[in-house]
Amino acid sequence: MINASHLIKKFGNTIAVQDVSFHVAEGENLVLLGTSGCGKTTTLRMINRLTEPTSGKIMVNGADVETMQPETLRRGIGYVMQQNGLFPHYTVEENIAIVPSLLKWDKEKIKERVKSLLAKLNLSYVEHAHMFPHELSGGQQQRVGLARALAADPPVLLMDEPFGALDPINRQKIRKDFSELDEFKRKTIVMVTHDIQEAFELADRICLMDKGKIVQLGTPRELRDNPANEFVSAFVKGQYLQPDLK
Amino acid sequence: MQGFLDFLLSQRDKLFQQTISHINLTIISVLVAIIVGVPLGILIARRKRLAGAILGVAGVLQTIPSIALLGFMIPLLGIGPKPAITALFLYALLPIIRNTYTGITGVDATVKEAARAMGMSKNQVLFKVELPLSMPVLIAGIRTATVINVGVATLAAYIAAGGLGEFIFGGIALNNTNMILAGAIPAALLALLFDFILSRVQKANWRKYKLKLGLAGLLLCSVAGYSMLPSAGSSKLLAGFTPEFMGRMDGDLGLKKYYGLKIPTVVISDAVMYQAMYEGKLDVVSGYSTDGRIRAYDLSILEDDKHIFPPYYCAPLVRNNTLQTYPELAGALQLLNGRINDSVMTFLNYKADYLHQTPEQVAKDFLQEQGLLKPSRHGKKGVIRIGSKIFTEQYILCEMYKLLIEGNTDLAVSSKTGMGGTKICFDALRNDQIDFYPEYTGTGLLVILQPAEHVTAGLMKDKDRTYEYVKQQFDTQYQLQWLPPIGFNNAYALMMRKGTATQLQINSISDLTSYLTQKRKP
Repeated sequence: MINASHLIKKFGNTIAVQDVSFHVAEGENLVLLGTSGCGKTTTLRMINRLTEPTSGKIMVNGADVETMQPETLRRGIGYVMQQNGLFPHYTVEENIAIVPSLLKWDKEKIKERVKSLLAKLNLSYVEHAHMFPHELSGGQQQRVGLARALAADPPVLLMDEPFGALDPINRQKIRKDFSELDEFKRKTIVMVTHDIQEAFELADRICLMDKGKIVQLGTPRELRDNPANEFVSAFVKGQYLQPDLK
Repeated sequence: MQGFLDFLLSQRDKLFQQTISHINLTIISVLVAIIVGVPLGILIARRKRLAGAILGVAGVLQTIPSIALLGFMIPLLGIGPKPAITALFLYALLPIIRNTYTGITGVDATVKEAARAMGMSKNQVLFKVELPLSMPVLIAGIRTATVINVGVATLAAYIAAGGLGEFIFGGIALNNTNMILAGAIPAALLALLFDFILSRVQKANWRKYKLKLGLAGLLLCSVAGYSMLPSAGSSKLLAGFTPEFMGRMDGDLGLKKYYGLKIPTVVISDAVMYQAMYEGKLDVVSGYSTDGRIRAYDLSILEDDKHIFPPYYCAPLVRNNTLQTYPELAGALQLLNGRINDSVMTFLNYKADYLHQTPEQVAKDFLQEQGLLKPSRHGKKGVIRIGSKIFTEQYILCEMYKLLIEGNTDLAVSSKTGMGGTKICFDALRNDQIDFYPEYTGTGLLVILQPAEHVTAGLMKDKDRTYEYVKQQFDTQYQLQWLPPIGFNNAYALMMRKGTATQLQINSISDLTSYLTQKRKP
């Protein structure tokens, strides 16, 4: 579904991403894991061209992203941000409807979609749809952010530290709700996190990065059982107790 | 209070018309500034390298004194609403550009990022996210610009663009407080009203559809507004009168009353009036008979065949106290007497107005020629404060008096020149802020004393009787002394270009009236 080959990104003289290649199969969840500054977010942003690679190539669904209109590309890819990035001047309903509206969906269809998404994410249409983001709690805002990314039912979802700004209890809860959605199971997801636990919980495969390079790419079990080097074993330390790894 | 209400009632047509044109000047200039300023603000928010240069230029425009900016517009755009709107527009630019820029750069980066990531195009990000979110800051800029422009638009009266400045400047010139208030109070109310309306707009919830609605509304207003402005130059002959002339019996009122003169008229400052006349923008102007520009611009004076203009012999008007403290002052001031007649004064004004010599130079040369120039005695006995009105002749006289006092007495001089009208000079004199200034007998009679009509009727045809009357009245009423007149008569006069006057065979004001009347009958 997503195929990145030999991605390089330089900002001036600093190399942020250095020869990164990976493949994400349809329906797979790939987690880009690493400490801050390791290049994981830059890598993610190159997939929907929020950042343009210095060299390298990305194919999404068989098409070279460079040949596509950035707007068209992005409307087909859901995007969730750490700071939810909701429009403060739009209601919850309007926020969720942004991409469907850009795609010129029928109004009734949009409304139905908003209703079903709110229900799935444990929000009430009657109560919340006409509120503005600042009237919601942090956890509710992040749920709306998820709903917005899922609204047009894109096959691919990019998530940049989606639960990073939440307190631990909310984070657990929303992560659980989200991982139980059928959307989560169907979609091809690339997610960035620095939280090893989150990575082990959600990932089909983990791509551990350091200093712009991939250190190891494999299933959580592979990382735990066969760490490629000291860095990996130090990173995954403490995850040994998880019994049922993929 | 009663007087003020009566004034408002009697002038309600004028007041209404001035208020409307004031509103139009303000709204149109601000609208144009929005149309130009907002896109510029957006541009520099996108390309920050341009920000310094564009904000710098707009900032410099803002620092040009408003009256000077209006002056610069005359050679480019003539007189009337066009140059006034242009100048006001330039004033409104800075707050609008700067607030647009600040507003847009202040929009939360995460929200902009989210908008891009959702697949919005640059324009969609601008219109659906950046502009709505920066709207409160942007409107604050428009508010600032509007309130500034309501104030500056009063100056538009100087260049025949109408507005409430006509009353304000007329009132100042005419010593008429009611008239000043009739202009100033509505102007202040307008500023408050606009500010209030815009504060409501600012607080409105700026949603995407309202933005479009707002834009359409703005455009509609500007089109409607422009069509309502007074237009200069629509008729065959156009008159330009100063604010002072408009309100005087020996001015527009007398012309209407005694001559029955009906001519389309704009109000204009005398500083730009002659230039506008010369360029053919005006055909008849109110002027002063000793003005140097009559000669420079080849104008001819229309004969006042019904004697509505009284004699305006110029003499120093001095505080009695000052004369008692420094008796030698009177002698020094009277050295000029008998040495300047009408044509000499006209020539001196011409040297300053047209040959661009400084008033100091003109004064010095003249005294030299007359053998009156003596080196300053650097006296320390006391300081005499000289005032002058804001036109060339007064500056020259003021310089002459300065040299004469310094050369012939032990007194020092400080001059306060360029006071904007009879009322300002007269009030300064009465409040002991100046010791004397050159005043004209006719002005003293009609503007300050304002006696009943049957009194003036007998006086006006005789220069000596006018002088004796004002001398006696000022002494008893105000404890001010009219020294003997210098000798020239700077009368109000109507003027036309020589060529036009000859061609239309107009020699007197009556000729002008009959030409205009007969033209109306086909």
